[in-house]
Amino acid sequence: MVVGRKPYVHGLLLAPALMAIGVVVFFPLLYSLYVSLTDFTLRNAGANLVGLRNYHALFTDLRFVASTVRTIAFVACSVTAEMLIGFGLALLMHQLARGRGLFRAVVLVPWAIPTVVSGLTWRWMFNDRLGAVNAALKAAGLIHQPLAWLAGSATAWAAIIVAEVWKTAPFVALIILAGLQMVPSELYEAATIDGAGRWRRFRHVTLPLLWPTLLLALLFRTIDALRVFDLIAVMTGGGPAGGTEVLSLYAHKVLFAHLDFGYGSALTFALFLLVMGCSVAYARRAVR
Amino acid sequence: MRRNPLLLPACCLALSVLSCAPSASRTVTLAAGKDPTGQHQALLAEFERQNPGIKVRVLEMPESSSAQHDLYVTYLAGRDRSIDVYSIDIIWPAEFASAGWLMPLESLFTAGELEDFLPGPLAGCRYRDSLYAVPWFTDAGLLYYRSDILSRHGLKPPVTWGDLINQATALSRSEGLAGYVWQGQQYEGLVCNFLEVLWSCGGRVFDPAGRPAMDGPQARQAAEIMLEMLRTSASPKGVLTYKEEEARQLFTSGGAVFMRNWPYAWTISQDSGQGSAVAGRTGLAPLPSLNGRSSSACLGGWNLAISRYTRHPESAAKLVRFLTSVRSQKHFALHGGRLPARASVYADAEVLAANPHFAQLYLAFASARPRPVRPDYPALSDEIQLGLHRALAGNVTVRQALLDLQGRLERIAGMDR
Repeated sequence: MVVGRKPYVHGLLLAPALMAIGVVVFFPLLYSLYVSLTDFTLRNAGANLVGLRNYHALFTDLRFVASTVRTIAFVACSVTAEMLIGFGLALLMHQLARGRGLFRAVVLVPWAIPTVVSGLTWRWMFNDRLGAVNAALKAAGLIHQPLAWLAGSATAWAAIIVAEVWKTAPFVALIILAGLQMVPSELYEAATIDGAGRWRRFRHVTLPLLWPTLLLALLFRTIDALRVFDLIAVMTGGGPAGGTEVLSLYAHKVLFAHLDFGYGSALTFALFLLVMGCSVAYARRAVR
Repeated sequence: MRRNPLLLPACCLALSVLSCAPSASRTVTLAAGKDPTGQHQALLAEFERQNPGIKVRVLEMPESSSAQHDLYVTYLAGRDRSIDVYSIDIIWPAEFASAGWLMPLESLFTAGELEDFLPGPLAGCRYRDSLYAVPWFTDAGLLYYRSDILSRHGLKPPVTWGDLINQATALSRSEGLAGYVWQGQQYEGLVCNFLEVLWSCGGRVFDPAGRPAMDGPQARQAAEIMLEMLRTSASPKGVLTYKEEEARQLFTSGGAVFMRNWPYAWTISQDSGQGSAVAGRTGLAPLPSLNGRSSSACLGGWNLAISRYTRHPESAAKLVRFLTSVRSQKHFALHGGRLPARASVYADAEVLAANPHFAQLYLAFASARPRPVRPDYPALSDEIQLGLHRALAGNVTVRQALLDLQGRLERIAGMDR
């Protein structure tokens, strides 16, 4: 070993990268953990350590419990739909003999639009009297009175999930398409010679080889969906009657409206643990 | 090309001399939202002419008021010294002053000078008997109505909430339009709409003893009136998802008979070029009230405050005095249609000739009231938005929603003490 003689060279060479990671990742994380253990609000500048009081409060805070349940339900619904639709789109694109490049570019458009912009657009599309959705439903004879989509919890969730899936299914499709293209065609040929039909080729060749890619897409989407903020903030602001308030939205209100940084940090740390838990679970599955 | 070895040092020297020169003059930085009037430049140039040695730099803030609030909180909590003057929403002076972020400005004006400012905005800028911001321009809720439809039916603009509900219900049926549209989404605008009804019922958010009064009869009555609008279909259920622009677009496209909105909608409604279908067919009135009581509009508007961390308090004070002067406010009224916060500007013949509707507005503005002037206002507002939307979107009774809200407000108010 050449560098073995000077073991500190390793550390020296790694130091800049480690420092950068420390400054941008670990410092904010540890700082917010520290703040979550205090009663720091912007108005009482001196923060006192209060131990786990903020975390205790989480369990009796109905708004926290409800927004956590909503967040998880949102992730389950939207990620399932994204994966299914994205998979479908990817298979479709993979089959295309010609025009794949063009199709891929078109499919990516929703992903390229900033969420705030697409959120505002969807908000207007779901407007009861001026929106395109009700206009279309009316023209099709499905409704007679304008439906106030965002005024009821169930319909508001439907609208939000449509907007979310519209944006993110293309992303999933692209990742899965990359996975599909890595499956060697000889395997399909061999399977065909062995007498496997379309379904068996898909089930026994495509799926096993695609598994890591699917897990990756699932991981990305789950983490992203857990942190959903801008889409809901723009479309409903957490309404109606708090019915679409997710964890990140509630944390933002506690931090910036209530200026309660101690409790707000506990909320964001709870969200962090949720995201971290998912990541670790996926990572362990992927390794196996 | 051969380089002169002295060129680089010479350039550096020249640059440093040049950059020294302006530092003899002070640069005052003003943080303000997007300038829709396009008049900031002209006025600031005049200020710089009048005050040689002071330069003004404008730092443009995001358009959304809550995004602006979050940014200001970040700057001020970090004791940022690069911004001297902040343009702040009428609901922030108490919050910022109690945090110790603003300079008291009492000494900037004599008592006589202060008298010219409208009482509502001035009250919103006071915290614990000192002035922490100076009203720059103002805003208040108004009732817009379709004058053509009302006169066709021989109706006068409604004076009471009962009138409004009856007219809106009847006209929405006969005309096939939405009746009365307002801002009912769960957000800050809902609080304004609610307070206007609450005040007109003689209610308040806090009773004189400083206790939340959401369990009182007036709060109950106000919430019932709003619920009644939805129940009678005087207002479409969609208003529960409306902010200002949803209501405004529906009204100016000719889709509604009545609207509650801020004055900005007037200019758009009168401009067919901006797609208004109701130009010349729109009337303005103060908001309705409960029988025999006076109506109170909810104040909006922006105010100038000086950061506690400024390096140039005198120059900043000069800028604040200049921008809030009669002359500047008149300029904004004439060229940008902005609403002055000084009574004398509303009486100015030139201003009235350019904006005849100001006479109507002044009536509403003189009695307009600020939202609760308290440092914990944003937290109160968050709870009021949620509590009221629970009552209106219909998952709990008004009684239960207000009782829950009362409990939450009591906790916040208690925490602050």
